[in-house]
Parts: sequence; structure tokens; C-alpha cells
Amino acid sequence: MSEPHDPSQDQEPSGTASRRTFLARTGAAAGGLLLAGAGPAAAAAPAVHTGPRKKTLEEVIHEGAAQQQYPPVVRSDVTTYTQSSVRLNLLKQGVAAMRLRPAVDRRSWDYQAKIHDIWCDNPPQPDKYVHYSWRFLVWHRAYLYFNEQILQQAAGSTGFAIPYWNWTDNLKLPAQYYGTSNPLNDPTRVMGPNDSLDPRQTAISGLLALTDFPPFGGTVGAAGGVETGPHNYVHRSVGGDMGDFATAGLDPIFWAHHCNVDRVWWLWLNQGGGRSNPVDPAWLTQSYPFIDTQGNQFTIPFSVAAGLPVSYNPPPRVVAISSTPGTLSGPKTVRAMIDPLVSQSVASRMASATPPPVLHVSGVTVPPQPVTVNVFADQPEAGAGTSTAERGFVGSFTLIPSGHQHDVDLRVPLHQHVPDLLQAMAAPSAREGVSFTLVPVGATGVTYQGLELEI
Amino acid sequence: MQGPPRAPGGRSAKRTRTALSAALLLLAGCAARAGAAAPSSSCTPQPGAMPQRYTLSAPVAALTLGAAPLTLGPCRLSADAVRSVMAAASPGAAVLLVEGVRAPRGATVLVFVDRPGASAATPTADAAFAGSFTLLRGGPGGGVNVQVALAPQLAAAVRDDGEFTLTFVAVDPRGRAEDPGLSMDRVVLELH
Repeated sequence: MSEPHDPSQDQEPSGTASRRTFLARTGAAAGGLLLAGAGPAAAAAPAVHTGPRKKTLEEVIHEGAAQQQYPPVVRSDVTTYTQSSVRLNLLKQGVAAMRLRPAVDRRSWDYQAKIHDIWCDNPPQPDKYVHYSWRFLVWHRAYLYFNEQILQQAAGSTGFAIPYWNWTDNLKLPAQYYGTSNPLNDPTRVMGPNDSLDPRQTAISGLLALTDFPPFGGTVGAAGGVETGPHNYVHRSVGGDMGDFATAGLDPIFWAHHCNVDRVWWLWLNQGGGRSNPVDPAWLTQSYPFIDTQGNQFTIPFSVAAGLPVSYNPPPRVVAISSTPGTLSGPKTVRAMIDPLVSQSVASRMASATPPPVLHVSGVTVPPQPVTVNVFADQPEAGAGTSTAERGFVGSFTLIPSGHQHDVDLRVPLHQHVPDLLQAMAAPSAREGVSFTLVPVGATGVTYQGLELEI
Repeated sequence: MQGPPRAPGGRSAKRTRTALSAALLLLAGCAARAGAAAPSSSCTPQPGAMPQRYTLSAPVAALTLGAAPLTLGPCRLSADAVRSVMAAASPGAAVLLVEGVRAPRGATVLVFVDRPGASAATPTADAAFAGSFTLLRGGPGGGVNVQVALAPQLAAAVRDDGEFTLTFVAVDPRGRAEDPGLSMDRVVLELH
């Protein structure tokens, strides 16, 4: 299933083809494929897993119930993909590896983008056109999901997912997607790193307030508000490859953008209140072909695509603690400066059962001996002998050596003595900083690249 | 085509405009104030139809939207329809359905309810801003259909007299006025 990552692929330049070049390069490769279930041409499509007989609704629903065969994916806000984080590097490695594959390879970057061109710009049948209809959200969910599987395979790790660009709160295109030697860059973009979107056109509160699917997600013949609202607006604003459905998939930001579109759908549905997806058999049974990690083509109906196990971590409020590398040769105290607004937010939610704060430790080098690192808040005098029963003890992590020496990103929930920790962060003095002391027990020499606090 | 002067937005301006447009409503229904030749429409619900549909432009002539804003209306809702909109719990209780939209170069269109003076300079923070729709370049030649939910803005507009206008403003991604060469076959208000 997985293939080893070749570090030399990191050197792949991030250049993208013009639309004309792209179409010429991939047209012959993909033009005759991906037509399963789409009419007579389907007969010529290789590796189609489904037969020609149209499934009954009962069979389709049964397939939906069997969705557990698909591994769950939890996606996070791109702002948590810090520049030094391992998962950002894995994302880059995966994209770079896919870019190196020849266009005829169904798992190549070009071929995957061509899939979008086929179904979103030049469908073999008009009624298979994905956009401007109720097909939009569900088709893209499956397209994203199976592309993500290929991306993970290309990176040789399932330790990351495609991040989402929460353009409602972050109006600038994420910095992680710029840089001349960055495989996530696309030089055709019109939107520069300092340009901002119009917040009124990326607002989702009105969309989430809708209770019926049609104005939200579309009908058989009309687009919903998600699609022609923020979705299309962001496409057009980014411009370049993103400004045209034929080439949009070439720009790596396309995937982060669509993860957020999918997240909006996920948020909408999870509100309850009678919100539901279409139950019309015409929607449930419509099927499209996708590509698996082996490069095989298979077909699934919307009933299965809609139920693919994707979920989303909430956008974090991340407080940078230290962006400089450090070494735990003994207890080390750092300070997190808590913005007053964040303090107020913490204070307002102290009575509710909210998730505990999380300490992100990025780029951690696993030492040759096992080590546990205890974390204390507002207890700078803590040392190796300090009991974890102390109220200042908020969490810990343990590193166990393995045969492979590699850096890891750690996400450490600070779930001990949470009320005390929240109290410290909600206090007016928090703007002067809340101290966190990391105490290694058992070994020393743990190094890290950066520390962040997620609230 | 140069349309008649547009009245500035706001409730007081609306009073003047309503008096002037009553005859227009009888003769030509909901008329386009700028852009293409004014098509006629009944601006009344289709008998027996659910959802209630108010057509603000007739299918006999496509509307075009250029650099100048396009205002449709005023359109008067029935008393029942006004009560329905006022009681709406969801923005989706009133949906604008724009049919047969074609914008070969791509377009972003801001939709304002009862703000006939709206332009590219009108901030999207304006309470009359109901939403926007964007089309990318290319797309199906026959045009596409888009929806904009606008119950809150419509409720505010029809509260007093049951009348409202719709104003479409084409902007580029930076919010500046532009001529997208956009056309649309029909504009329909659906009340659910």
C-alpha cells in the first residue's frame, strides 16, 4: 500500500503548467478514462469494480452501511501546520512525490487534477456535470478523500491529512502555500500573500442558519449557496489555475480550500435541527469513478460518498510560545503570552465542558532512552522530584525509542488540573505570560523545534 | 443602455419611489431599472404553485448586467406572503433563484434587497446585502441556475409596505466595479 519516501523528491520545483500545457499533457492520458457508469464509453474504462447492472436502492444503502472499510480521517486547520511541523513536511513530500509521477499515472498530481477537469468542466454527459447542482458537495467529498489516500501513500505516512483553509477567519491565503521552492506553491495565482478576501463573502453564518438542503447544497438543477457563494468566490479571488475548473486541481490550495467547503457541509449537518442530506434516490444512487491508492479505478454511489468518515478539528486559537529550537537538558521554563481576548474567551467558557488546552511540541527528536516529560503550569520551580499530584501539573508525554530515528510532532492534551490551568489563563496577569515548565524524567537531551499552545 | 436615475437607498427614499412606481407596477410589473430593456412580469404568485414564486423578470428577454448596477422592481408581495416572510425562522424561507446565468469571463455579483442605490462602493456590511454569487470563467454554455437565501433582508424590506427591489452589482475579486458581460434568463423569488 505504501511506498517509501524519496527525500530527493523534496527538490521538485513547484511549477505548474498553463491550462493549455496541462490539457495537452493529460488529455490523452485521462480523456478516455474515468467514464465508468457514464454511458457507452464506460465499456472502455479499465479496472472498473462495479458491473453494468444498475443497483437497487437497497443495495446502495447496504453499500453505505459498509463504509467502515474506509479509514477515518480527521482534518485540522492549516494554521496548526506550523512551518516546522512534521505533518506540513509530510504534506509537502506527498505533493512533491505526486508531482514527479508521469501524467499517465492515475496517482499523479496532473492526473488527479484532470479528474476535476473532466467532471467539472467537460463531463461526458451533461447530467454528470458536478457543479451548479446538488452533486457539488458530495462529489468533492469523495474526490478529496481518495486523493488524500493517494497523497498519504505518496508521503509514506498516514500521520497527516489535508488541512483546511478556514477562509472565514483567515482571509489571507496561508503562508504555508507560498515560496518558490515550495511544492505547495502555484506561481499562477493572482492573489498574493498580502491580499485579503472580503469577509462578508466568506462568512458562513447565514449558510449554517439554513435548515433545508436545497438553498444550502443545491438541487438537481441549481447551485446552493455554499457553491456559488464562498466556494466560487475564493476560487475566483485566488485566480490563476484556481480561477478555472479545468486547472483548479493543479493548485495545492485547491485541496485546502475544498476541505473547508466540506467542513462547512459537515458543520451544517452536525447542527441537527432537521438538517439532512437529500434522500431522493436520484441523488443517492448517482455514482462516479475514483482512483484508489493502487491506481485502480472504482465506482461508488453518492450514498457511500456522503458517508465517508471525515471529521474536522475545530479551528484553534493558537498561542505561539517559542519558535526557536530548544533542548531539555533539565527543567525548562517558557512563557505563553495570552491575549486579553483569548483570556476573556477562556473565562467565559470555564464553566462548560470544553476540550482541554493542548501543547504542541513540534519537531521532537526521540532520544535513545525512554523519557517522560512532565508539564507544569505556573510552577517554574518544578523539577524532577516534583510530584504530579501538585496542582500545577497539567500533563505529560513519553517518548519511547524505536528503530527509526525521526522527528515527531506531539500534541499533548493538558488534561490534568484543568480548572487551575484555565484559571491561570483567564487571569488578568495572563497577558504578562503563563509559565510552562517542561521537566524531563528518565533521560535528558530531548530536542524540539517549537512550542505552541492551542486553546 | 442608460437606465433612469436611481433613487438613493433608505426607507425615506423608498416612500417617494413607491408613489412614483405604482403605475409602473400595474403596467409593467417588476421592471429593470438599468442594463437591458425592461422586461415585463406579473410579480404575482403563480396560481396553486408551491413554493410561491414571484417572477421579477420575464423569460422573453435576457437581462444583462454590466458595470452599472441592475435594479429589478419594485415588487409587491401579498399580505400572506409578507406575514410568511416576517415569520421566517430560516434565511431559506425566501430564496432568490436566478436562472440561466452566463458569464463567460467569470463574475461576482452582490445582491442587495431594497437598496436601489447600491453600487460597488456600497459596503458588504450594509444591512441590505443579502449575499453574492460567483461564476468562474467557462462553464456550461447554456447557463447555470443559482440560489441566494435572503429571508432576513426581505423581511426588513417588506415590513412596512410589502414592497422590495433587488439590485445586482458586479464586482471584481477586489470589490471594484467591473463589466462581466453577464446575462441571466429569469429572476424568481421563491417563498417556502
